[in-house]
Amino acid sequence: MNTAFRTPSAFDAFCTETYRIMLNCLARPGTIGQLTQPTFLGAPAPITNAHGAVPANMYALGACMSLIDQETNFVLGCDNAWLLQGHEATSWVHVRTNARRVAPQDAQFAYLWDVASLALIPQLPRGSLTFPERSTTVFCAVPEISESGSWRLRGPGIDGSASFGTDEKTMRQVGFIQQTRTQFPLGVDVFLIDQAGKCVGLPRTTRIELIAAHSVRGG
Amino acid sequence: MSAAAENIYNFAFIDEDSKREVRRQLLKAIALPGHQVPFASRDLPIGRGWGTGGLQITMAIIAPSDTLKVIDQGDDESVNAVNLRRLLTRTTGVATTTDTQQASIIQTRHRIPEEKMRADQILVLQVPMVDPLRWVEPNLERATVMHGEADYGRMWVYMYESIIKAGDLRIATQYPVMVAGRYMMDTTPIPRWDVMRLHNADTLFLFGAGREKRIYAVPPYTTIEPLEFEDYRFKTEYQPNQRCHRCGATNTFLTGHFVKATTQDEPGHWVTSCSDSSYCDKQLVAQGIPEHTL
Ligand SMILES: [Zn+2]
Repeated sequence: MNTAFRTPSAFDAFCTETYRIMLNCLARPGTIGQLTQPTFLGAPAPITNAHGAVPANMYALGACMSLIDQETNFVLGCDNAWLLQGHEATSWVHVRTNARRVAPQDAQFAYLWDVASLALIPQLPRGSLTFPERSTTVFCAVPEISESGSWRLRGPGIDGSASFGTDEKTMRQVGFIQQTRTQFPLGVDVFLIDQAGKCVGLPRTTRIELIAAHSVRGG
Repeated sequence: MSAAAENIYNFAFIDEDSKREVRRQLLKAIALPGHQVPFASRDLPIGRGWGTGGLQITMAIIAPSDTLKVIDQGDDESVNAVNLRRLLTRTTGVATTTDTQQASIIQTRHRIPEEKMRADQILVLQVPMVDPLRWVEPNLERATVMHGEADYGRMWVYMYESIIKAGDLRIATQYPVMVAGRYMMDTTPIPRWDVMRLHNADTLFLFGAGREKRIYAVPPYTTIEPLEFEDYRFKTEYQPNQRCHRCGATNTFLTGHFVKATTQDEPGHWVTSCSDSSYCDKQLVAQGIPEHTL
């Protein structure tokens, strides 16, 4: 077969590869996908706050950046506050994607630097009954995702129930995600991505419970 | 190398911004099973109505490591399937197959392959007509509001009346279903035979309509309930005595072909065979018939 196509750029190839992992994670909530790190992109400067200098999780920010361009907009959150238009990290993402930074209530995409920022989710749009797709997709960097643990999921894409685990800090923030799935079809779709690039998709259809560790082991 | 001059297309033909648009809307479609998400459908070197919606989905998701199968009317060798496959392989270099088991992405019109698809496979369906509410509400904006409010009463009445009136079957190949108990979805253009194969499947199903600029999805393990009534249950095309005249299968969706008269002793007649031609061939090979004679 004669082929006639250009070899994709590193970024374009990264976007294609990353997309299939995200697609699978969102279609099968609880399935852990392994993202790659777009090292060729570099990284924005770490953000210094009370916890020290916090670097971006480039697996998670890269996944978010693979979906945005001049047609779309975004907002970044860190330490439970939105980063402003003029913030260095906001400019860093804008320059590389052409996507515009907007106010949280208009955002199509949000990257959250840390789990404390999950508390910002109530400020994001959930869509309307006529246009439920006009809602935010959130990428949140979390410390750790593991195969088994207290997160118990049910809903479309899941054969019965699914489970996975995270660190305690992420578990304490679960309420902010649960609150986005009380008014289906309105809602917010969330990707949790850990420091090693492990990714879990939580579409708004996924009902989340945290269950005690002993009942996880019991099956 | 003269090939260099021909290296003119982007990988998978459409530009990266178009892919990102489709990718974003597909994520919404998965999060809203059965809901029609608008997308900015691009013009392609294939007439609308010939699968441009499905094609744009495949182009947005395909990766160099994929193995692709393209079918039309269940047939890998139909002109439309051949054209779509040629465009995709020319612009991606991916491997192709006719074997359902070997494919990672299957693009199709009219059929879900007979062989059960797995969790690591994606079925992309080309859709000509999107909205089941078109029967009762031709205005798309008003239909969108009705979906938003799950205002499906008129559609239930319409279904009941058309079944009572005719035993009916204008809706034979566009049977409406409820997806995950919330959105009403058309199953055009698959036969009723395939409708329940969308129910709690292992596979992700993605639907694209190029002309109507809509994308929707049925995730795996999602409930699909056909509209039916206590006294009129949903039925497939299955006939108790049905049989494929080629491979003998009694449990497949069949299509009819007219066989012309050859001699006076052998008058013209209708025969039926599996619409999934690759499945039918596989059965014959399993029965010991050499592949090259098929
Ligand atoms: Zn057959």
